[in-house]
Amino acid sequence: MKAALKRAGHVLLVPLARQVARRPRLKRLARSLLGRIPALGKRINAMIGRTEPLPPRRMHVPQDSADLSPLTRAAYDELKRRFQARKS
Amino acid sequence: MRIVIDMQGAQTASRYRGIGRYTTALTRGILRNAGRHDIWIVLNGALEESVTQIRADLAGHIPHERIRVFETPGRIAEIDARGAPRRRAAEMLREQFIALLAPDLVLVTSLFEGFHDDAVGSVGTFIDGARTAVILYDLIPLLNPASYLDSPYLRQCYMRKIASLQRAGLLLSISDYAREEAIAALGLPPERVVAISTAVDESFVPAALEPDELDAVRRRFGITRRMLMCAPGGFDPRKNIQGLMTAYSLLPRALRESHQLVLASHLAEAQQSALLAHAGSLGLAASDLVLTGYLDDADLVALYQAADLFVFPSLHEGFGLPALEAMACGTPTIASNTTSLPEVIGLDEALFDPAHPQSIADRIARVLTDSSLYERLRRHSRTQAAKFSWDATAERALRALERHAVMTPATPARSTDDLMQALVAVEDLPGDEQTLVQLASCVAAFPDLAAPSRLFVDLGHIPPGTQGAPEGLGGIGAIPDLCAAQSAVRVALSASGGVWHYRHAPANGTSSSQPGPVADMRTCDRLVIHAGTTAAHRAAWTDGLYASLYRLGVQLYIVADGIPGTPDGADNGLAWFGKMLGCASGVICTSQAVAEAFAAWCAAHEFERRLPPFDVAAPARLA
Repeated sequence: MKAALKRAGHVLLVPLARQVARRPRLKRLARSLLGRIPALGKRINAMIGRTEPLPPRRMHVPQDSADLSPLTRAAYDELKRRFQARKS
Repeated sequence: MRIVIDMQGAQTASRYRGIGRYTTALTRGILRNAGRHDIWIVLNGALEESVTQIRADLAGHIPHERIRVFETPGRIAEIDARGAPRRRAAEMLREQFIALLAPDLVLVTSLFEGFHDDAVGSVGTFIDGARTAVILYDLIPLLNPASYLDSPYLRQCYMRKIASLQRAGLLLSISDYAREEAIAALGLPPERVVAISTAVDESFVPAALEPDELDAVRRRFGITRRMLMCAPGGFDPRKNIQGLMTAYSLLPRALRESHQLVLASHLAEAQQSALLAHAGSLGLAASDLVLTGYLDDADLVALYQAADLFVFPSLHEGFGLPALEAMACGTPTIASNTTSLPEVIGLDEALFDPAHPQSIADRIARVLTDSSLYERLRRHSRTQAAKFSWDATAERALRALERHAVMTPATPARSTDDLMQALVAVEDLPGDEQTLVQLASCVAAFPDLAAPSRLFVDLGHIPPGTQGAPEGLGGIGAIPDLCAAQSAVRVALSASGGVWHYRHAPANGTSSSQPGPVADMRTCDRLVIHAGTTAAHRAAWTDGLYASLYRLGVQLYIVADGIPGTPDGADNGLAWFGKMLGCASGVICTSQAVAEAFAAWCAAHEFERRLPPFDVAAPARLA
């Protein structure tokens, strides 16, 4: 039931939101708001950004726990043991 | 004495503003005046573009192994409140990273970073902050919370930074005023705050532009009359630009008709609209006001030369660098009689009360109509500006650090065991696989000063789906010589897991061997690659592998026993190899003839970046 409602909401609301967002007056309003409150733009960008995958900080080291370098593996195993102990 | 400088102030968006300039210039000043002290630099690996830039800028000023890069566990910007546990972990990881460099003193160039980006700034969250010094620019948000800390979350973030500031053993303030302000506002003992002052960039000297060049600059910005100039260094109510405009409107008509008011600063559209609306309400004509937008230093210096008078009406500053820049360019300068500005200006008759536009207008009018006062101000500008220099500021900082180190007990690194206990104790820090891998990567990147520098030798590429024999050895004459060296670690490129990286090559190099584990390269390690690279090397370059190793401080050597071959036999598309050469620490040629042929080949391809030094030697010398 919940999934069906969610799907129906998606089907109805997303096209509506897209239609509304295309309206020139709304676009002007958004631009004006962003111009007046630059911090708002930064916040929106940060909200969009946080859903992106994490950037590969150490591109020379895979981020797969099954295939780590020896140093990373040692630290990972120790951290895992301690976090599991915390959970229990 | 070993001094570790955390240069994050030159890594975030601050690098385009005063804090970034201050960080870079002070660091260079300290390096010039370090004497017997060892200077080390610490950078944040999450702000990767700036790491490349700073490494390139400081090359030749500091040995590359003294620039160390710490890692952060994913996104930690304050703006995302959900990242708070990771941020706490990042603070502890950074403090431990720095402590492992065994510093006698740590100098943090900017603590108030990391709201919008992944900078990490903290003192005393894991390692005692007694031997940490922090540059103090100002406490303007703390003293004006209604204007700057309007949301509870922002206030909470700022106050955490203030708590860190209070845990620092020493504050180095950029002005006497900022020192007094910190002592009063934070209740610090006076001996814990030392004023080290500041200075301007060497490019701020009187411009020697010819009249036609000056006219061209004026035309470009729509300046048609003589000019009063203000470069506020950002748009902010405390900069009092509207007060200056009101003062301009109060000037005698003749002065207004002969002078335009030029505001040299980046302004958002809404800010421009507000200023134009204010000008309209004052009855100013459109031509009275010139908004230049962002200016580079060359244009700024040219406009200083063109200006009759520089006016700096700010209500609150930690120092007031634009006023000193104008004076260094020889421009007569007047400024507010508040906060730090009297010590910058150094002349009572060049000051006014910024709260009263009439006071500003009276001072402008007097300077423009009294030729003897005008000449006095012009002479005073250069004399006063000459009192400030980066060498003097760096000397003050070094003396303050030396005194502090004598009086304060050392704060050594704690054990990794302690750190892991502290990480586990961070409230709400998840123990999911991704977080654990990120934390483990940060721990694995910790410096180990006792570890010897290792020599990695690139044997080629392990193709996907094979069991370990690297391809690319065919025809490479010099590399096997290197492999014979006992200390050499044989590695090969791999793209397993979707990320280009190096793995240990199979011990016996046979196809029956399993691929080795991922190679963990560290600062000071050397990686040797043959100039006859493969398509895999090109792909790895495009993926950012070699740039990443450069940022980390791994030295790349290219061994040439002939001119470079191309993967597909074609001679085009080699720009990437030119860029890789730019990242290299050296090209080792097996003979003089090879060196000459290689250099000629590079010249023919007109690679854009600087070429590394060429050395004629047996490659085995590297081992």
